[in-house]
Amino acid sequence: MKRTWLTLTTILIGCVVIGIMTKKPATTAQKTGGDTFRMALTSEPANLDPARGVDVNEGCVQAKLFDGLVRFDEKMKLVGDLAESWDIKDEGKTYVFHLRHGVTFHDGKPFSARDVVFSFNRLLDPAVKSPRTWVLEKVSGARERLAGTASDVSGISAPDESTVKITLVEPFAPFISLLTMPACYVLPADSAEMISDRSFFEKPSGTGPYTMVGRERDSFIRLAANPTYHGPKPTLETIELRIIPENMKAEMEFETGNLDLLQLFPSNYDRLAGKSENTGRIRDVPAMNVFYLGLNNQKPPFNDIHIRKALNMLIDREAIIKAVYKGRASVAHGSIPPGIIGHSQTAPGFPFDPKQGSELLKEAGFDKKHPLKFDLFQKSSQAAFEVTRLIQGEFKKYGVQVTLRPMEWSALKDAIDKGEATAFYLSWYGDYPDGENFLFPVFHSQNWGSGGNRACYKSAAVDSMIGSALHIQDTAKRAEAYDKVNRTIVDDAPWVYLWHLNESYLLGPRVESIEMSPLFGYDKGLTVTMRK
Amino acid sequence: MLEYTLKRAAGTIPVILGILAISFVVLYLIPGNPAETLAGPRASPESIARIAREMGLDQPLHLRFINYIVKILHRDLGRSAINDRPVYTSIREKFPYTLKLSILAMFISIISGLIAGIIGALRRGSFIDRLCTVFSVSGISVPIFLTGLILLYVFAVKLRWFPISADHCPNPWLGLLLPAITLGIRSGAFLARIIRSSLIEVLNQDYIRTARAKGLSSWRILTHHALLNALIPIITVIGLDISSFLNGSVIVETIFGIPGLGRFTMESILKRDYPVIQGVVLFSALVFVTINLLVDLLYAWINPRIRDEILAGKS
Amino acid sequence: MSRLTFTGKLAVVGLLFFILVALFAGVIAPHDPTETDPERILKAPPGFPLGCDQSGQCVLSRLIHGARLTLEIGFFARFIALLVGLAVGLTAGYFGGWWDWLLMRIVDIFLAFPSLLLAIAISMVLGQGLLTVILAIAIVGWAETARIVRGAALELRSAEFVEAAHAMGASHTRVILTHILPNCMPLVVVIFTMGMATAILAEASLSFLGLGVDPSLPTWGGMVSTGKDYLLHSPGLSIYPGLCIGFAVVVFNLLGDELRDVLDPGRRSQW
Repeated sequence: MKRTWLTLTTILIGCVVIGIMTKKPATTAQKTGGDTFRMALTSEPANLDPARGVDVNEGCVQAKLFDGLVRFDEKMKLVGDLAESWDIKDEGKTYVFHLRHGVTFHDGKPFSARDVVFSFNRLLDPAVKSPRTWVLEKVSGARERLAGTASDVSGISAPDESTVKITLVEPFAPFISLLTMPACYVLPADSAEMISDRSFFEKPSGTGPYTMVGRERDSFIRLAANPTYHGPKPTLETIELRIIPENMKAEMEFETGNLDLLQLFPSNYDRLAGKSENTGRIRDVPAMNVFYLGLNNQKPPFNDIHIRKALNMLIDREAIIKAVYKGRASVAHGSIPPGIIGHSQTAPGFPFDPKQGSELLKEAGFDKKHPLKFDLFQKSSQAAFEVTRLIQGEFKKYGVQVTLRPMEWSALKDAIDKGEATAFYLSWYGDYPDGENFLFPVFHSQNWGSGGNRACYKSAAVDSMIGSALHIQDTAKRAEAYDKVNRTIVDDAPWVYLWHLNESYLLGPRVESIEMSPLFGYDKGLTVTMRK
Repeated sequence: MLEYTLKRAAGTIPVILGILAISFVVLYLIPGNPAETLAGPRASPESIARIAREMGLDQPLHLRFINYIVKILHRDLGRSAINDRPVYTSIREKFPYTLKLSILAMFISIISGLIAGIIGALRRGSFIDRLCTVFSVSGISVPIFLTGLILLYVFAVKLRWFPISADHCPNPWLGLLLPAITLGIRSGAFLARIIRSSLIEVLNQDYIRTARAKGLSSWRILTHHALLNALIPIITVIGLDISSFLNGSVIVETIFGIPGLGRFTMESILKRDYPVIQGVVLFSALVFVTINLLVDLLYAWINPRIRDEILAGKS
Repeated sequence: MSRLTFTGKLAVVGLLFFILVALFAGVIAPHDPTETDPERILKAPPGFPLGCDQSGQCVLSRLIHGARLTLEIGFFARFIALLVGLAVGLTAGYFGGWWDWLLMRIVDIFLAFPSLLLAIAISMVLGQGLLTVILAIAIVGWAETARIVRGAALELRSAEFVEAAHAMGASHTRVILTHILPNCMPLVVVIFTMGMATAILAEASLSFLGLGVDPSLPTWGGMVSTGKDYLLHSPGLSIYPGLCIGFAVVVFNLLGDELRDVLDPGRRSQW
């Protein structure tokens, strides 16, 4: 019996010893002085490597650590970043960037044209397996580099320490916008070895306004101002990025004063917007997205344009926007969202017209007695359900029977690509603010199927219209051309266009001012000021 | 004892092999293409095929299984499909948090179980016994996510006694208290039932009655005789607890924001990071097998009669 | 009935209530549990006693239909688990030897996985759906049943009446089915009842993690999961279904306890 006591005591003591010896738990609750800005990320950034990043949580951190040659400022104006100025020659085929002088990386090493060439070459290196190689695919020599037949990209060169020259295979007007993407951020060539074994990203050294000073995976990332930053002096001392996947938790943290910025969702907008202390603190930012019901244009019943048009007319978009998003979205009259080159206020889109819609359905041979039935495939996320359940209800009123088929993302993609899913609820988020990003990937026949044109839309006229628009350097004229393409596509109704969703944020009481653009996810943290 | 230890340890080998096989098959059967997930939304079919080849996804099944075991012997659980980090490194980073949480939960479970069990047995049928029964029945029955949400809402949001996220608290133990209570109450309730019934059984035995008749105080009887017998079930429950804590940590760490193994699993589920899920499931099963082995050995050491019976072949 | 204690009677009443609600869900529920309406989102119009959820669906109707779905999932999952567990447990215990060794190692393997993690892995393999949830819970649950049944079968194997049956030339199948199985029945009833409680909790946990059935179907776990983002706005959305789960599990646990005491008092401390 003594043994029993002995054992239990040993277990308890053992527990205490193990408990004390294990790593001290992470705590983000260090001093939070006046100049600390605290915000939440919805998931752990998987990669700090710009060449491998794909989601906005990664971009948010990368944008603060690294710089590209150019960037969009908070007013969505294209400005130089590591490049001071640039010339576009040969009718848009050659870009020459003049780099800023005296820029250093966080570790003190000087920045030069060599780093740019290294980083762009690395992005196209087949060994890096970057998902974003398409960003530079129009550069001459990119194809050979990607195929592994060349060790350099012939179209990228550094004539001297502070000049970078990029040659394209053909004029491609949006190219300069593509260079703002995180994939084109510049890494130090001297750290090539550490970059390739990934140890570099444990303590990354970029040229950006902030350096990483602390990180605990699935918990937080702490950034501190870079005193040698080449741009305006960072307004914050520290940025604390907490990783909080649950909206509910972020909301609670904000309410108890532990966050200075909260993204608002249908689940919390009403409650928080209704509080008197929050008046004037909500920012609605138009975002670069379009939500739609994709229809497979090649398969019945959706190969019939009557049906596609009818479905477009049977949805009361305004009502759903009001009910779900409290009006924080704009009706989509095409695929190009507001604020993006090529968007037009006057584009007609499809009106909510159940009468004409029902007639069109009748022409196609469907009415209440012989109802149109189809399966709507979607991601099995709650946000998707909140919308599709309502759309299902709306369609039901007009005798269209929809069965929802929720799936996990990669299974959904498979089903769409194989043509099993002929109707699907999806959204397209743009990577850069140019209308091309909302036309070429999703409607050009070159991207047929899994390439992005999941509706399998095919129109020779549209293909050539997009092609020629890309050669136009003049922004206004290009916008006009995009608008024309957009309207031509809408006439064919390849999608049921839904809406462009705004992103809404609530500022905490400590925030004095902040500028937010549609690219806020990639903000550099240079406009936030805190109350003292 | 050595013979028993060896025999018992050898018995776990087929189990471990079976665990390996199952966790391998699960990954093999999972639908969807991990290479596609890794390649991102705008990747071409060629680059997806290339990544699949590099991940070894095109080899025949038996070769992949052998490779798999060889790798695991080298502590290589594969790499995350999302960020390419070795799964072993991540687990080693995350496990201490879960361990710490489990230890605290175990304390809470043993203490609450002992108190409720002893009171229930000594004051059998009284109001306070009923109260303890209600505690243990509801502790077992209420799903832990509900307990967690309610505790979070009441004590962290409304009363603000505790931090909302455990990782955001100047005193790390304080932050772990609510999640540990959420986990511990459930096994505490189990323990209370077991202790109560085994105490009642012991207290009704003849020798206890004799002791009582001799005038020994109830407390002395309790600590010197009755409770000693109850300690054996406690050790059994501790073994089971490890499993329930590994289960529960998935939910509790998500609700309370602890960067441990459970939340890591949850994130991997959301991102469909199959190698990580497989690694965590495998790791948890191995931990569980090890703990069970230890518990069995302890059991045999405390109670030599059991050991001798098993060695004699009467399993 | 008369042998039941007060708590036991209470549990029986609770179970009956639960079953009646599930059977007559269509009649009792004031609305269609899957009818959405943008106008009703998070409001409580007249005729909706517990208000509406984030898709404008009647919460009360969903709770009522949830009883049916929860009972269905739990029942079928446990039924499959029971069949497999019986087959494995009876044959292992009855035949013994290497067959017993092999089956019991398989049981050990399944018991070694933390149940929720195993269920998660299974539901990822099978993809989302009602059948998946049922199978995942069944696969996780059969091993425990098998182990307990095997223990009972092992004891019964050497019972006198079994030896007698052998002596009279009865086949193995016959002995198992007519002598061993009926004697295990009380045990089986108790395992099944207790198992229902575990199954309901497992379904709820899977739904909570987003791996349950299609969220438009009204299951209690799914309701907690979809409602938790609204915890600060309308706590009822997740608290009510959570309490329903608790209620159902309490009923099955109490009933299981009670049945164990009544049907097989001698064995109480063993399981």
